Amino acid sequence: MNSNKLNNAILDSLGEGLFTVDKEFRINSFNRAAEQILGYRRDEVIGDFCKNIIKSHRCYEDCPLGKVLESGSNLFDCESEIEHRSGRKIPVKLNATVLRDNENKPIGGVVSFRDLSYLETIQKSLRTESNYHGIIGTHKSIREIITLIEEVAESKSNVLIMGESGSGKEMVANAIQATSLRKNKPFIKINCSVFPPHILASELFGHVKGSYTDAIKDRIGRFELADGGTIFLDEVAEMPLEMQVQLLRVLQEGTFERIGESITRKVDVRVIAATNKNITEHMHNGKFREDLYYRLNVIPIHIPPLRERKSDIPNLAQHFINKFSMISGKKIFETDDDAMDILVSYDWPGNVRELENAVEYAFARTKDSVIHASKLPPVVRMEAHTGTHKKQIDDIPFAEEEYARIKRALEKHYWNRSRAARELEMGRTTLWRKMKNLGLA
Amino acid sequence: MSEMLGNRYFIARQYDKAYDNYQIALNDDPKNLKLKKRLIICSIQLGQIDKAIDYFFEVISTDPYVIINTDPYRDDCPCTEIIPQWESKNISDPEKVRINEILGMLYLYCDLKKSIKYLETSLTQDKTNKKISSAIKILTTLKPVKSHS
Repeated sequence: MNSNKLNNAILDSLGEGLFTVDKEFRINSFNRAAEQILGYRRDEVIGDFCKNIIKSHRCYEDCPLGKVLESGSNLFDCESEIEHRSGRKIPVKLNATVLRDNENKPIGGVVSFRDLSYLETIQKSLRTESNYHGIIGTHKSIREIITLIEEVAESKSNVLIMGESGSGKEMVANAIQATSLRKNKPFIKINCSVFPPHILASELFGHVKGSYTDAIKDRIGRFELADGGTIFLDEVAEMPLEMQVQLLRVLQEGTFERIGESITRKVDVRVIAATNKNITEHMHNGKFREDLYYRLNVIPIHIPPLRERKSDIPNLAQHFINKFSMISGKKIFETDDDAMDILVSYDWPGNVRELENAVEYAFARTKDSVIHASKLPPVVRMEAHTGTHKKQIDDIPFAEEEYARIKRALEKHYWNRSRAARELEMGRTTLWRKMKNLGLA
Repeated sequence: MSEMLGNRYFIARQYDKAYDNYQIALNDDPKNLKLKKRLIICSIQLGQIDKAIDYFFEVISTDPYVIINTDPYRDDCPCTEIIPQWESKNISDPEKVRINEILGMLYLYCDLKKSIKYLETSLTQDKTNKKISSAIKILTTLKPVKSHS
């Protein structure tokens, strides 16, 4: 085998798309994965300019190889979008390297890329009528939160999200940001409970070199990074009192100073704060400033614990099953009735996060296509209250709504369960179980 | 800074950055006609017409076919985009000489006859331009080639 053939064989063995260009940016090799991802045959693209094949906006504004040429550093995992021959946009992560001759002069480049379409497919298929920017649920309380998020989409008022740990505060913050007028601006997140006070101040407001022992160079703070956009302050009730004064000033005046510097800086940042603490109690105990509370609490959002919206458990469980199924490639479609009874009966002190972990645990242990009760985490099995799934569902007003929704779909499809299940985005067996529980079968 | 970086900016039609990089590359390789061929276009787009004429004259004195044999697609030549812009420019009389010079240079990338026509027109407006006069002499002795336009 000559060296050219050997090189091609090596390149073709890669799972990533890869092409090389000469110094004029003409393609001189194009591997098999690149052919599959982009829809061109190798012989069609050799000799052509990469911009005519890749057709990424980066080709003109921010050429990856150009960046490498200018910076001298290779590029890794750069997010971009390239175009399939058919015109379909393909999200990719790409790497770029410049090839040099013995005199270190650039003579060409290598670009490799991974197709991320499958991730979008996963996200798309997980997006259903009961999934609003990642918030899963049709319970009245969740629908009210979604309505509120939509109502305040054009506002830049501060938001305070309250809810138990694992109830989805960050998910709500994400949804607020994603629907706001600032959705294309920076969105910076910080957990106020994980930093010691002086580090938290530096994280939020930045510092100048020498302002404290470890400050070896100037550092920009999160508020400056978020300028024009949104900052998410998680666990805000854990913030030390002295920091609360500084935060209050940013909220009132939009001004602050970096630590160790006297220059006053101005920013325009929307604050979304969250806490799992009883913040009123914190105020009474003198741990949280009342004036700060009122500044943050312009739009309060209370997320109920999962035990208070049990009608969402089947939807949430199914969502996590779909998610893990797509990520792992395992063909697991649903839980059996006993497992669902347990999931609905259990109180979920760790809320949605605990439910997700429980599904993941059961998923890892399941070998066939259905998750059985025996595969659920022991603590969930042992602490679930006795009682049937049907009874639990019957206790919830939501059941009436679900009854109407399922009946509507069945009638539309002349009681063809497969078609109705497809419309309802649930498995045929799940539909059958729900029909039995709701008295429709 | 390198020829390759110049190429990156040229294909992205960022002529100012391409020009800077090609100038540096030309210091390392002063006889590189490919660089000069692209510098003609960069100079025109940056309004440095005298500089463009210098490069143009250097190239056609050495090998005019470096420009004449340009393939608009295979060589990613921007002339098909640039020429209509210059042709549609509304200009006053004193600038007409320059426009004819510019179009004379640009048309050589795709149409020899038109190139000569524009250069001759510019010469009627400014009979003292020796470089244009010499360029016309070189070009009129060449065998006609198929037009790309």
